[in-house]
Amino acid sequence: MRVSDSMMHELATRGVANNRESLFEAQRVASSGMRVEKPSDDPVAASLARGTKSRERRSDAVAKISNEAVDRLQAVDDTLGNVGDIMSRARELAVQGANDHVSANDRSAMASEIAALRAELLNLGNTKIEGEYVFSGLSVDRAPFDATGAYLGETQLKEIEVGPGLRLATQVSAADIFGASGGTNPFTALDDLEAALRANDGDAIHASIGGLSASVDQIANGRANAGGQQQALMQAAAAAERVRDEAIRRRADLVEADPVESFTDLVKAEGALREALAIAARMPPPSLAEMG
Amino acid sequence: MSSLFGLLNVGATGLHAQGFGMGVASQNAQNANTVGYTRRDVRFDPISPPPDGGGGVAVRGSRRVMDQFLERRLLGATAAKAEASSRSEALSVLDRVLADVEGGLGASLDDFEVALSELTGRPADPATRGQVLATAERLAVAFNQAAQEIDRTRADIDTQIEREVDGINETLRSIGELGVQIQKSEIGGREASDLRDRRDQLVRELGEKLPVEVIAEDSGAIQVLLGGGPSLVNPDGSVAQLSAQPDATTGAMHLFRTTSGVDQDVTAYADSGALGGLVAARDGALADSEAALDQLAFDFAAAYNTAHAAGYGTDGVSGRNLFTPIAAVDGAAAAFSVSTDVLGEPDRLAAASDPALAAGDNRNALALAALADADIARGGRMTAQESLGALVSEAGQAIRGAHLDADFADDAAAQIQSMRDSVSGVSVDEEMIALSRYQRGYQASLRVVQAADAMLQELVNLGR
Repeated sequence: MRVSDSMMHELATRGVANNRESLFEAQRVASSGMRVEKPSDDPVAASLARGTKSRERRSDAVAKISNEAVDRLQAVDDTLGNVGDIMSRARELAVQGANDHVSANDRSAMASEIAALRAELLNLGNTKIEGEYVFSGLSVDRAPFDATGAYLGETQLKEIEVGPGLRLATQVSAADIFGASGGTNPFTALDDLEAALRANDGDAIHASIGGLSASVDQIANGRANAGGQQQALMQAAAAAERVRDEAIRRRADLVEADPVESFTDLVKAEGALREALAIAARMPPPSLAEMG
Repeated sequence: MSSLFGLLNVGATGLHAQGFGMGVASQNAQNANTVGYTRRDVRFDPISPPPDGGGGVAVRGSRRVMDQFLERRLLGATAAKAEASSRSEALSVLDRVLADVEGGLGASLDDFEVALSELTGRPADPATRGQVLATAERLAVAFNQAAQEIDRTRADIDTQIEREVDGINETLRSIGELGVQIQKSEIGGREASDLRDRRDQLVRELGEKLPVEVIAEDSGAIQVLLGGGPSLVNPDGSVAQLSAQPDATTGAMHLFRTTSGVDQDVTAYADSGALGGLVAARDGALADSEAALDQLAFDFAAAYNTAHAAGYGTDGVSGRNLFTPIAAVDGAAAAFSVSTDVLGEPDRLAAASDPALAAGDNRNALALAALADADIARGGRMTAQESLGALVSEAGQAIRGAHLDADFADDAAAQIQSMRDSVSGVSVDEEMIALSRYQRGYQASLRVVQAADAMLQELVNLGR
């Protein structure tokens, strides 16, 4: 083949230009640590990476709201513990007061304690955490119990979505615990006991023990349920965190550069450019023009 | 046997011819680095000896050494290279718009979905409500910016197309004029190599802008066809003028050829060259991406508005929009904004499904958050995130395709250029050899003259 001067110059120029381009790309990857920064770097990986980012962020949010719900349920559980203590104490007093040897005076003193316990119970029933009534169901800004102990809250509980279509309640069912939907109303039980004590009616006092016991059981059940809810939410949070971590790993696989590989590529590109430059440095080729 | 004076003449033709040869070889060597220069070779013819002629050598001029087939292939390859590189350059905006960075469209969409998810956990919390509105506004800004960037790029492309068309018209006129000049100059029979070189260089420049085919006649007349179709330069030197105009309804760019006052739509022929690449980017991937972005913005606003209007703010009012309702898909991304129904009023965010419960009710927030998993985009086939992912993939493929096309076309053009240079390029060494050859020829001719002179001398002495 006939080789013109421009062919030789063009070859050297292109060799240097191509290798410079390769080196630039290798430098970009090595310095940023990212294989894919723009859609065109790898369209499919960039598209998949978008999905992993979305999954990461949303799973993180689910974990966050689940953990917050767990914390709130823990606080509610403490309150329920206090409620249980009140009812246990009331039952104790009822058992004591039912004894025929207890004087009317003592019963009257007991009645006063019961009245105090009832006031405390009303207080606990209207507990607010972060400005929200915890036993009101969805109507968080309405006090769930009035002075008579009637339930004014909602039976509908707040739920959060922990997975597509999978929802968990983040409130305890106050209606069940406080007997608004069947069962025993603790306020009524206390009222009955107090009235019986004041009336110095041994039989009536005895009769109130059953209601008090039922209420204590009801509250214990409620706490157990709340514990189960916490458990489920904790599991959901853990699952969401796993999904999040997996998404982060997957994204790293998709868009990040392997440090060893990117460094090797950099060294290779440098070597190739050095060779191309060595060839270019030998330009112009030997010629008759210089041998005149 | 010719006369001695005849012999002197033979020597003179030789001196002239070798000198001419040296001139051409020198010119070749000097133009080794001249773009568009085609090396010349010298055409000598022997002159018949007496009695038919005087003997010696006749100079028939010089001629450009070229292969028409390679020249044609080079034109095509240059056009393809320019097409791919201008297309990939024009599309690079999409890489910027769709890059997954903080504040980008994808990240803003994430932020908004996360804020709604958190709203389901804390529907009554003013800070969480405020966060939803803030992320909605950021999402709107991201949509607007993406639309603006694409819009600005299109405006830039339009300006560029206009400039290219002006340049092309200028080039067409020059090619036409040169064609006429060449024909005039070559009436004497000698090739007007310089004019032809200039004309061919202009054709090559034209070939970078548009796909052209050249029909060259021996007379020097030339016809330039656009993509093998309509004529741009006629053999008589008359030229057509091009103009570019976007379609009033579709907005797609159209290219028109005007000859004697008549416009012809020649867009379909101009599918290569830098101009073809610009039009392909503008009305191809760029328009597609913009349409997909608009559709997403439109679907997104509609879906979230429907869900939002169904719920109640803490003030117990329903029927409010979250985003400003968008009338048309076209331009939806640019028009995307947070509705004044809720702007700056986090209380009005409809998290509740029951006006009586308002503050604590998160059921409508759940419905809003669930839209992240709902197929609200691309005709109900994809979630918003999936639709964005598909857009990233489609645009990425288009840009990557343009990059690959550019690399391939670049290699192909370099290869053909090399083949062309192999034929038409200057080799300085060859010219050096030619120089010494003509030098030797010159010496030989000189010897002939000397010999004839000596013989004449002898003849004169004989008469004494």
